[in-house]
Amino acid sequence: MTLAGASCLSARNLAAGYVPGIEILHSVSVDAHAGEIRCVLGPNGTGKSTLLKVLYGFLKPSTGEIRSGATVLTGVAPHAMGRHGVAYLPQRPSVFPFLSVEVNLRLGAWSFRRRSVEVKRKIERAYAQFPILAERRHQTAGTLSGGQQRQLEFARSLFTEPRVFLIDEPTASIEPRITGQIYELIRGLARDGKAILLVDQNIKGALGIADYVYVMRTGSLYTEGPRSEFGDDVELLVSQWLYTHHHGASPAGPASAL
Amino acid sequence: MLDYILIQAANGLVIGVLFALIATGLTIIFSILKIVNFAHGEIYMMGGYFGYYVITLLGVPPFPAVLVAMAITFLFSVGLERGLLTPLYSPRIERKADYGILITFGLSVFLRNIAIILFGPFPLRPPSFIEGDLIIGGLIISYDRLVAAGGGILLLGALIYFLNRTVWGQALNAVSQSRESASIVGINSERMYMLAFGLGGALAGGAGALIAPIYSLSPSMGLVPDTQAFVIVILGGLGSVSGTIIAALLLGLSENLFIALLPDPSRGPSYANAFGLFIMMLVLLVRPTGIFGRQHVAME
Repeated sequence: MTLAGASCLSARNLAAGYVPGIEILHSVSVDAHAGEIRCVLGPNGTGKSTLLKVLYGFLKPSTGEIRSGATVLTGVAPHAMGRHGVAYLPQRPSVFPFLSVEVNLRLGAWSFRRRSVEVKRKIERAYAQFPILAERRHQTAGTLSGGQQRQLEFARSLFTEPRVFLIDEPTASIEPRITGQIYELIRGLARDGKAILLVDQNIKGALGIADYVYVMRTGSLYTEGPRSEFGDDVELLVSQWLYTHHHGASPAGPASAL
Repeated sequence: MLDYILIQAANGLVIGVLFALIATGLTIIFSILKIVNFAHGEIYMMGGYFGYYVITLLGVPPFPAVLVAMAITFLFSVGLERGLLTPLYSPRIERKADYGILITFGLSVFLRNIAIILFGPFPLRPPSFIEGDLIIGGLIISYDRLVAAGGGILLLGALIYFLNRTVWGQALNAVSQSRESASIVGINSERMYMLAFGLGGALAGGAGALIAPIYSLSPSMGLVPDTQAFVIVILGGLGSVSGTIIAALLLGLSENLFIALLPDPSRGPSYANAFGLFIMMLVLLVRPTGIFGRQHVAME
């Protein structure tokens, strides 16, 4: 693995569920490293999205610990996660559909709203990076296409200069021709030294940019390892992850995490 | 007869503005906390009494007394929100809407009865803002009504500015659209709930203080405006502030013209409220989302 200390976010033995007594995650450990894209893959309903919700504080883990360096993040409320350098992009774009693009960006600057010069500078920078947002600044965000809403969300999330991005299904509601752009955007974030933890149903797309892969099945990690050790036959990998029923075996990847 | 209709129309607009203050408070609370505040009329009543005692006990002149009453009502509402509504935000409470109905309904009965003990059952009337009537031809309207309408319009203007032009107002709007998305940008929803309930209460309290010299204060004064406010909020489309203001003016105007046009005018006022409810039923049949409604989700 990468250098110790490069880990921006690490979670150990997380267990969590929505209803007391029913666990959706059982003892999951994941890390996010600076400059790396780490994907969490696996079939529907295995707790991938739940994992990100727990990491961001929407759901309290019943056991386990989340850390960022020396700081314990377990139990930190979601609205405070930005201050700890963590950003979250949920499956459904988290833009405010009835507010204009400009106001959406302004609200992205909520945590430093009193520093008006900085707010202005960052909004201008967002417009320079995503010209379509500048063009549509007075439109309500709900009128943007799925891809444009994602761009707005990325632009907004950069305002707090996060070190870690938790990204859930970034291309789920997006026209296919934009998909490549979104993955390129994520790759760019990693190049800038951000740590990415990406949950994705689009296995091909995710494996195309991943540096490290976690595979989940029914609430726990099934296997994990560097992307290079998983080979390139995506169909074969998927069929093995989906249809191999004995746990503990090392199906395709090298390391069995369990 | 024409003069009478003119006077009633003017009165209707004055009342409409005050309805608008009460109802926008209700709609702000609804769209942020996702509960219907059944104690809203009682908070309006408390605001009236706060204004009265600020004038009579502290000697504050009537105009600033309205603002002082609003500030007190704001703090009073925030206290109620902290004391009674925080369980709404806990993931452990199921059926939050039911909790909201029960707790605010109970609160309304409690406040009405505590007001009888504290303030007495008899109507109290604070001094006029300005004595006398304005007479233009056949139109006669008291200065107190003009002050109430003018004050109400100023407050509504300030509210619209706050909601649309300030980042705190935009944050309130953001929370009303999605609590999850709001926390993703770092907005602490609980503080917005406090702000929304305090602000909604302050608006109702301001209406109470403005209306006090016109109708006098009594512990049960909140009952009728409460139903009116529900009618208005539904007419305007739940959660829409501009829709609420327009619906309030329309309801105030149409109720008063209804009174004027009823063959036996002496019976008019008793039917005014029923007329409002009748309009609400019609609107619900034709347009269940209200005139300016947008979809709203229940609190997660």
